Amino acid sequence: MTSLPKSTGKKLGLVTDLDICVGCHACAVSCKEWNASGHSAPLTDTNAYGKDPSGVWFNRVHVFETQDGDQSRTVNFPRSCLHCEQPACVTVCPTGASYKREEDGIVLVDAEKCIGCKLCSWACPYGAREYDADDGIMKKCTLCIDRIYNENLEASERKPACVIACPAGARHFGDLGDPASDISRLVERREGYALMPESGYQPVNKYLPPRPRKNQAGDTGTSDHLEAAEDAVDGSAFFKWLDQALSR
Amino acid sequence: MYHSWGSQNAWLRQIHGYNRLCMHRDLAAELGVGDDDWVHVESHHGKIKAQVRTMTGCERNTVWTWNAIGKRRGAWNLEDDAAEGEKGFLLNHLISELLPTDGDGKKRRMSNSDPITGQAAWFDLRVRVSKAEAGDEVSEPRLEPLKPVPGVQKRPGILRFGEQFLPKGSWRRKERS
Repeated sequence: MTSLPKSTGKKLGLVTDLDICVGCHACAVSCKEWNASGHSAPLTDTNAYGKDPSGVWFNRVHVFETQDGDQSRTVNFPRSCLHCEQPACVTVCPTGASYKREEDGIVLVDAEKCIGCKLCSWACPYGAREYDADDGIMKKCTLCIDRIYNENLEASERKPACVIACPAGARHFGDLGDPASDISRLVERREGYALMPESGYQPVNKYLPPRPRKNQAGDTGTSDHLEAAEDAVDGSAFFKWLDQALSR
Repeated sequence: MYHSWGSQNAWLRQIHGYNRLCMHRDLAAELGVGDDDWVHVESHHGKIKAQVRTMTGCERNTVWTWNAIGKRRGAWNLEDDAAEGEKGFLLNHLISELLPTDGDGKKRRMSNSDPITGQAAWFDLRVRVSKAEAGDEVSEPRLEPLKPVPGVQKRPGILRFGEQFLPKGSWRRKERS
C-alpha cells in the first residue's frame, strides 16, 4: 500500500467560515468549471438531462436546519477534500495512484495509476472522493494545484477557484502549517475546528463556527427605541414624503 | 441559478432540480402534514399541488418556494420523467398577471408588479393550504408533455464537458476527433 511522507513542508488547505456562508454553491460550480477544463477533465455527468442526474463534484454544499431554541439556524456546509495529514485514502491505495505531496501536503490522484478499485472512497470518512464511473477512475479536489502555482495567472488569482468565486468571502486559502500565517491566525482567533478530530486523520482544512445569533435589537448595537432614533435625526418630513410617494 | 435557465444546465439542475413548498413546522403540524407530504395550494386565481418541506426559519403563516424550477414535461429539452416536471411546481398558476379593477368602471387594469422595480409582486398573495389525499406523487397541474421543437439537437445522456481539453490521443477522450 502507498506510504506517506514523514512530514510536509507546508500544509496548504482551506478554511470555510460557516458563519457567513450563504449556500449559493458558487464554490461548487466554479470548482467544477475550472477542474472540468484541467487535468481531471471531464467531470462526467450521467443522466444529465433526465431523472436523477448525477455528476462528479469536488465540492458539495449541504444545507440543513438546526433546532436549538432561539439559536436555530440554517447551516450551509460546503464539503471537499480536507487534505488530511494522516490520509487513509492514500495508505489504502494498492497502486500508488493516491499520494500526498511532501512539499505542500496536497493529496492527489495519478489518473494513470488509478485502477478504480474505490478503496480510497471506502477509507475516506469524509466522503470526499469522487468516482467517475465513465472514466473508471477516482477524482478529487486538487486544491487547484494548476492555479496556485500557475505563473500565467496574476498573483492575486493564484488561489483555488472556490476561494476566488465565493461572493461572501467565506473561503480562505493558505499555509495552515505556519502558525504565523494569516489563515492560521484566523483559525486561532475564531476558534476554528477540524471535522471529526477523534478519528485521527488530522484534516488540514478547518471550519470556523457560526457566531451566536443576534436576536435582540441591543445585540446589534442599535437602539431598541425607534422613536428616540427618529427624533435624533430630524428627518420626519423626508420620511413622510417618501411614505406618500410609495403609497400612491 | 434558481430560475428557468438553470434547468437546461446539467450542473445547476443537480444542485436544485425540483422545489418544495417550505412552511413553518407549527403550521405544518396544524395542517397535519410533514416533510415530503403533498398539499394543495389554492388562491383566488388557481390551484396547484406541491410537496412540503418543513422548517423553523420562516414566518409561521407564510409559505414560500424557489419558484420557476418546476417545468412542463418536455420543456427545456429535458426528459419526460425529469424531476422538474414530476416534482417541481410553479406558483404562476396561483397568481394573476393583472390587479383587480378598482371598481370605478375603468377597463384598464394595472400589472400585478412592483411599481418601482417592475419585478413581479408575488409576495402578498393569500392562499389556502390543505393536505392532499395520497395518490400519484406528482405536482399539479399536470399538462401533456410538450413535443420536441424541430431542429433541436438530441440531449446527451452522458455529458463529458471538458474532455475536449485533454491531449489528443488521451485514453480518457471518448469522442474521437
